[in-house]
Amino acid sequence: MKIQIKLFAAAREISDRGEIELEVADDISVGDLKKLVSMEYPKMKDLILRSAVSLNREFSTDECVVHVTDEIALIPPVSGG
Amino acid sequence: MISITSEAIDTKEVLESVKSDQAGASVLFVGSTRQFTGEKETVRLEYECYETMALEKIQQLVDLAQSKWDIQQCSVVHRTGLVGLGESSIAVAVSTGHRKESFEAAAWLVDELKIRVPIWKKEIWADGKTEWVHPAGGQQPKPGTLNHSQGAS
Repeated sequence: MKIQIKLFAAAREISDRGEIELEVADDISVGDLKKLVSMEYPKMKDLILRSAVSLNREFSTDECVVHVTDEIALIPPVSGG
Repeated sequence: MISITSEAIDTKEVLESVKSDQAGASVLFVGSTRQFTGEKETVRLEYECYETMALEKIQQLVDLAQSKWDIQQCSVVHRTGLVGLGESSIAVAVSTGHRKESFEAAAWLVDELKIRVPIWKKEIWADGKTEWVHPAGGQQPKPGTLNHSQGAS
């Protein structure tokens, strides 16, 4: 399945884009997705290790399964306020 | 009032928004751009957010605060884009029957926002360099952690 991942802050600047598109296995877990993005974008690897992934605007765990209809985003450690 | 805006925050308006005849206390917290962090000099900050998720997360925090304290009114406003020295990046206002609850709820909301809401700041230093702030060793938000047993009680 083809998915899009929203990128923010340092992840957006490192990859020079606000969203990336990837072809992934249908039942991919969030943990495997993070590994895959790290391989495709090695410059983001260190940041991805410290980042969360949101599915439909909720934080996920590495065990969560990604669905094609999910709104997916990489959430680096936040620093609002 | 919950909002994310690229305009300057009218802190007086945020405080006014929590006015209530049932409140005996109102607390307004304002976060602003600080010039020095140790030796390093900041000239401005730039904020970016994942707006739809950030608004939902702020609403969840406000709902939870309202279940933990007897809050009359509560407002959270966060700015995005460039925020110059001394300008406000965030305003949180809470009104309650008594002052202790206002102080506690406002402090809790700011603390939680800083770890659970997808907003990021970039330091723009006086030497021209820039740096996204992605705190190391920070608490990674997990699903289901935003519940009634969390935080101050």
